Amino acid sequence: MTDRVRYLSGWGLVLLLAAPCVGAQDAHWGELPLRASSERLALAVGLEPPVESWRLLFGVSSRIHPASGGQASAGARLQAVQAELARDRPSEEDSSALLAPVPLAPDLWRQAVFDQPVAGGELARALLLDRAASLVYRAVSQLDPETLAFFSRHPELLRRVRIRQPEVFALVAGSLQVEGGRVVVPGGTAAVPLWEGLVGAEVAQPERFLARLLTAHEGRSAILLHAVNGLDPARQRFALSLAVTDPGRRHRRFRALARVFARAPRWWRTEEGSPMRPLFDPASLLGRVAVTEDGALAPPAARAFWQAAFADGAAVPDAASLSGGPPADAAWLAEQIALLPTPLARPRVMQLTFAQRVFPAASPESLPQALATVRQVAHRPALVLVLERLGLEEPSLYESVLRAAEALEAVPRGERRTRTLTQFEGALAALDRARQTGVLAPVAVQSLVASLARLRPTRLGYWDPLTSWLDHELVPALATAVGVAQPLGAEEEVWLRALAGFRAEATASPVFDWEGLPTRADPAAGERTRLAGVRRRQGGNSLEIVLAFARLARAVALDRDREEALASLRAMPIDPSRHPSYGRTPSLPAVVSEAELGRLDSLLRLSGGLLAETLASLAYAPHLGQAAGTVLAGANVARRHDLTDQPFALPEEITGTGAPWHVRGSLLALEVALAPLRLRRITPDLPLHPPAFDRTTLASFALSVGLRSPFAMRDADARAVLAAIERGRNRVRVLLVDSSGSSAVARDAALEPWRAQALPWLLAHEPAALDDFFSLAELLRLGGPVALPEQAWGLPELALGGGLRLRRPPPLLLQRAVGQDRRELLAAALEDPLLKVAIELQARRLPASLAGATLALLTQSIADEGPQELADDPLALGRFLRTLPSARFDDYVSALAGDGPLVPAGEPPEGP
Amino acid sequence: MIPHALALVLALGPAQDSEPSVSEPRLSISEPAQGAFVSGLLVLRARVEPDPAVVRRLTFMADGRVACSLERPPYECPWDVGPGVTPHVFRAVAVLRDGRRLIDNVRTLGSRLTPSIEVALVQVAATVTDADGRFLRGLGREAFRIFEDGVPQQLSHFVGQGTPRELVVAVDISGSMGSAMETCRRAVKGFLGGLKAEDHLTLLAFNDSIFTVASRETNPAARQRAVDRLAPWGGTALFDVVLRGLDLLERQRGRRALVLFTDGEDRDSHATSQDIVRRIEVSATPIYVIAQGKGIREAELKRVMDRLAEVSGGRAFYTERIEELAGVFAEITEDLDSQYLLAYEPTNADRDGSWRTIRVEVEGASNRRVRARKGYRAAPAGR
Repeated sequence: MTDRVRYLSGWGLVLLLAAPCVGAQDAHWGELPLRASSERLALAVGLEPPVESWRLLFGVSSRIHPASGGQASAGARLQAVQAELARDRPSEEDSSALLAPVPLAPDLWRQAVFDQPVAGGELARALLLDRAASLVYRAVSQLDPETLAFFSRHPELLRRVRIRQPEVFALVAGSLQVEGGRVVVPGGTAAVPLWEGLVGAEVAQPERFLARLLTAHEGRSAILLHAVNGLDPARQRFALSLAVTDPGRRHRRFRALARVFARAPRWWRTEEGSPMRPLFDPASLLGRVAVTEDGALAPPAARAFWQAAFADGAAVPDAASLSGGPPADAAWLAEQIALLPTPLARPRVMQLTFAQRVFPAASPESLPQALATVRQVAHRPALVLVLERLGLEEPSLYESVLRAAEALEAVPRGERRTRTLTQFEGALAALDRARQTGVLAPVAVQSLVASLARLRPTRLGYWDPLTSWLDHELVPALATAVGVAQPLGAEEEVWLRALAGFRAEATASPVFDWEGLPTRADPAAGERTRLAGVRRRQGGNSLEIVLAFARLARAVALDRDREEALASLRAMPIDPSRHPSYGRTPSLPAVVSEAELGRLDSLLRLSGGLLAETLASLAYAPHLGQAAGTVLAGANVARRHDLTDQPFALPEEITGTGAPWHVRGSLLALEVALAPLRLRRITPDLPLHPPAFDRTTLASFALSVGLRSPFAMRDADARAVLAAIERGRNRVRVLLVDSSGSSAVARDAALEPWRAQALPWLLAHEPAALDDFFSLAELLRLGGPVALPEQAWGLPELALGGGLRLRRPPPLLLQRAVGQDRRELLAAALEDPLLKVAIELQARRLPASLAGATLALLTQSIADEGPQELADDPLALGRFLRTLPSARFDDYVSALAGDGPLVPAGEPPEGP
Repeated sequence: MIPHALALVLALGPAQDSEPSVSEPRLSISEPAQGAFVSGLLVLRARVEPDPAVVRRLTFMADGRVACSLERPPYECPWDVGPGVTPHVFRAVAVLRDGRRLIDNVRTLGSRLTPSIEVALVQVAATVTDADGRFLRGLGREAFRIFEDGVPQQLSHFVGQGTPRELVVAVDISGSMGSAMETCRRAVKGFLGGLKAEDHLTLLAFNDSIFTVASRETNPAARQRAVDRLAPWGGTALFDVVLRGLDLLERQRGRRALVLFTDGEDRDSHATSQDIVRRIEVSATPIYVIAQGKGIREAELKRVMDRLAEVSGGRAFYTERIEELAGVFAEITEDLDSQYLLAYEPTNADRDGSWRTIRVEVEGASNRRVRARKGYRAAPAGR
């Protein structure tokens, strides 16, 4: 078959799937031959073959001619594609199999895009190699049939856009819509005057409107339109200031927002390349701010409040001025936050989202306290976010804890400061864990936080009141919750049970058969075993030892049964602290001898140091992975924790600096730094290729494991997820016999525009590819809605400027992050790994509480064996998960024995 | 009660309704027994009947971790469950040549009983050379005298030459090895090629993680092929792999050594250099370092490698010339072949964390030189 014949044959399969009002001659989607091997082309651009026809041309084009910044390898990929397309092809190589779907008629491409004759057989090749044509191809691939027909009737518009702003066209085309001869703008009828005023053309003149939108002012108005179009209706109203009743003011505020967009770094790439788009630019901010249904900023909303929060001065305005005055609007917030460099913008986004989560109902009188707390999000984020996770809502309680922290931080730098901060944070970390595992109820936690915040150092040190608090408040509360009747002398056991999620009133989970053995899923028991193993390998002193030591030290210092206390101290089996920051002390006999002579300094220092070290070790224990892990092979890594400079900053892992590996920042929220240690390899074998994830990506995926509590996962929810995915699959299967519902399916699954437009072509030409077309998350949406607890089924939102919690991602989160660094965003956006785990556990009739531990194994497998180009090709994750052998999940589950949540039940089978 | 016949045949095709025929392969863990009490070093054993030839690979898992992966019988895997008598789950998975999997599980029991006897043997590997530096072999137990802190000790164990070697070879595949990797692969192959058939070797690769490239049971040809898969990427955790290597070796008896092919850089270890020194001090395992890449040239990195070798009683070699490596390997194997293994139960039984000096003497001419570690730390028992 000649190229010409093949081309005509391909065009004979033009789909007539457009809306009824659109003429077939306008909605052209045909196919063009491409003389290349699809596998070699895919490999040339880093796509893992096989790559189906429906996405090959689009996928290759995106990787060699990126419309946005940040893809350094595009040049090399383009060269590889050029070489592949120029290669002499052996006659036996099958080129007839490669037919690429392309919108618009070939003559239109020649006339409007290439400005020159291009042979039919060369058109697809030319679309790949000519950057501007490639961008226009990707743009029109996103247009709905009526809009595509409009562009096909206006070749001059296509030509103009191709010459002036093809990158912008490729980026925003999915938001362009012409319907009934008018441009459809985000915000509906009420927003039409705003857009017409901004663009300088009427929506009823689509050609003029689109030409100005896409080409004037570097296309920045188009970027704004695209950003607003991607928002939900309430956020659209916020962005457009539709809650403002005065039309003149509304126009001015919208223009102000447009000016911020005009000043923001460009999204789009030019011939010279483009820097990475900032993570917290104006478009991203609009998607993250909380708003009311009518489009106003959710409280606290007063501009004065936010001015004071961002100003970060010591002075706190009075309540009246914080609640009065105009509200902050989109333009003002975008200017205050989204024009800043990322290191400055991120804390402000965190402040904003924190206040909107925690203080939406703060009374006007409490606003000064709320303001003081919100300011601290920027300076003490670990502390404030952990207090939020503990369930605190009262601004006054936040303020009292923050004051206590500030006072401890104000101690002059040195051993004493490190000891006291470690003691305070170690105690708070235990409360945090006990709350996460559900051992302590919110009311009990708040009461304990309040009493902890009231502690003030005595002349003996901070350890003195803290020991009393542990003895009389925290340990008894934990002991009651975990079912230890006599906590005195068993404090470590109480503590470990609380960290593990042991609950006195918990009923035994059902017994099931796993590979022939009676088994139960008991996350608390497994975690208790693991923690005990970790503590053994950490070494050092148990909690009961250091508490007993502290009581005796206090008795000596206060001269109560002094001789008896000294004798007991001398006999104590302590392992002296070796952490230099906790204090170098002489040996125990020397310390006691000094105390006998009335010199108490060493004794008091040692008592505080021992307590600090044990509390730090206990804070680390939940995050150190398996007890047999490498991290525990050397000396206790908790001793190397560095909280000197920023004791309440989110902790971070420090490597390769010349100093040994350690964590810097707060002892709170340690999962932020240590979550990768929770991941597990199913096998120690060397992976076949370097991992798909770099360190940042791995850490963000690991956080999804670290923040997930097994106690939040309920079997009923897992069943609902599975049922919804199955309903979604059924809707998709119907398309194979009746494709008329493809638009509705694309809408309900929230497909990105180019996939939505490619779906009809796929159904007609490549139906076998349908199984790989939809992600599990999209099938879940199709089969939904399903109300799922966010803390069980969500993904970490910290990278988005959120808190220490899990949230279901909005659809298209990743697709809207075009041009941004996606390494942290992948884990916040990709739900498929968790959904796959849920499906596999359900298939084996296993409890959902195993999901988090199974996810830890699957995540490491994805990192080691998964697609290399995940950031550019999220669909590849779906294929990887589908091709993972089912037996692998048997291995994952079996790996949960030992110190995991899979525990023996009943008597073992009889021996031989 | 579940019957003991636990072997599960997980067919990839549709489930079989009928009873399995007598010729269906069956997998069973023979040791430890179901419901047994276990402690310390075990040998896990499994068998496939009636025809073990149907097995492509058999993997043992102990408490959820892969313990061994074996390609042929006997299916035996040494595994240390630790000193206490705690419950354990052992799993064997046999992947058959037709793709099916057989699985068996065994669960052992826990007891409050803990073995009360904890003998702290001190092992010392020693080599003896004459005035010309030639190794002296064939010395008997009676030729050796050993002192701890100057106090004579009673030799309880003595192993002369002729026992198989137990080696862990750890190859640095971190990104910093980039340009040196090709030479390194050739060097590793050269070293492996010089080993005897009866030697046991585990081949590790490390960057910021540690991987098993070839287990102790992998055959030499497969081991050589596996070296070709080594490619540089990631960070470096040299100290961590030293600890892992020593862990693996200390489960084995015999003449043992850790051989490192590395540039000596460490950026990602959780362990510190002090951890390593402390551990080497209580280990009886010499470490041989064959420097690679920039490790041959940079003084700071050489200091690290020299220290590892020196403290352990091993040696460090610095050469880029592949033809010189043959001589280096010969020196290492001669070193190992000439090793005497001595062990004693110290007269000072306190495990107080203190440093104890060791001196080994050999009767005979005064020009005989003994190379052995200089001491050890009497590490306290676990908390």
